[in-house]
Amino acid sequence: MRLTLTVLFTCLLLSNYIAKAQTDTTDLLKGVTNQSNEKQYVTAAFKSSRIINGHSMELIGKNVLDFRILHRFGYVNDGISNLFGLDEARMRMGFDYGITNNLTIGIGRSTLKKELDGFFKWRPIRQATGAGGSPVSVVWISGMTLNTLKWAVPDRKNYFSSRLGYYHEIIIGRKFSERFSLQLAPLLVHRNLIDTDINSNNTFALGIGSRLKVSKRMALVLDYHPVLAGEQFGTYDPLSIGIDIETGGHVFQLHFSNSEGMNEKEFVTNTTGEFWKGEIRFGFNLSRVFSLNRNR
Amino acid sequence: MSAGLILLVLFGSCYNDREDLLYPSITDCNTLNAEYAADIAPIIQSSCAIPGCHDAASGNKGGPFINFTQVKNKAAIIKAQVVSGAMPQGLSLSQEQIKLISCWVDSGAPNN
Repeated sequence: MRLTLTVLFTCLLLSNYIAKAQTDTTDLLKGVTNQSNEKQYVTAAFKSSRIINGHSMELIGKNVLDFRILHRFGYVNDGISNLFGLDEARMRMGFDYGITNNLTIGIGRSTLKKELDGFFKWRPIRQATGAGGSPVSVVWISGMTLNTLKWAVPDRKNYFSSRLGYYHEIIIGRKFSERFSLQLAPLLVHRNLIDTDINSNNTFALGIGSRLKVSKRMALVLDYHPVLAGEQFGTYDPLSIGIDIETGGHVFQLHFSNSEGMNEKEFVTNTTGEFWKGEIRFGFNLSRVFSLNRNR
Repeated sequence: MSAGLILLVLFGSCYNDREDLLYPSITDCNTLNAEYAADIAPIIQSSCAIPGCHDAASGNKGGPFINFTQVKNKAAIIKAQVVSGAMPQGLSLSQEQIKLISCWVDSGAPNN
């Protein structure tokens, strides 16, 4: 399965290059008419700061607050008795804030494991056209998670550190055309406490995210995190497919995913649904941005 | 300064703990001889193979734990789940019961 998806992505990437090569003559003409060749940053590679579960290469602007509400429902294949999963829901509520155009911090809380999470997201390199422009954006994200459930075994010495998990991620992404963006994101998740030697404290995954714009306000998105090392017993690679709908200030993301968790630690190490067996969940992300600039 | 503080928080409290090593009292099997029929089966019957969980009609990931083969096939994950306290959901096993399961799995999950 992993191989099939990798081949699929490679084909997508190649087809884009071929399409680009075919339109090179028009690009040359554009170069003749646009004499300035000034450096211009590429914007809106993705419509939101998350592809579906994972971070995208996009950051929110300076002094912008992004209020995010995420929902994941039960398995669709539970059938009508569970209204195809809609009878049960997990939620994450979070706030992201842009300190600068290249630095975002965020916090959130998930109902699953009553887990708090926080992160910073920094973009040292931003994709730009014109002289000296980078062909890709590079984004570094580091975050922590804190499980606040009651101790499962209270009658022993429990340690605060056992509640903690961490993730570190480097995103390398490019907006290839107005319609197509692709990013690769190596991701390390560390959990301070695991159960036994059937599992591993460290899990290494490769985030693959893509967006294909189909109309002015809608885009297809794909978010896949094949686990390359330290896979947890009984878990599967998180795979999500969805559509983004933009309605001015709001971005709705509707999707199907085999993952229940809504932070990196949780969806990389604890995705128990087998996508191709129909163990998928409907979910949505709702994002509303507020500009906190004082002089506006 | 603030970047240093962030790095300290992010990397400063990193551990590689495992529950079976962190709590050796439940995994020290020197003086314990756990038997399936006498020790393990009663715990499984009363705490796992119950309606809505791992009884004969179980539709969950773990499946039913009605006979020895079903339990043995899941021995490693059963140990991991009870050692961490993740299972049984809604119930709790005593330290002695957790130790019996852990030691029985460590001894190769025999039908003794």
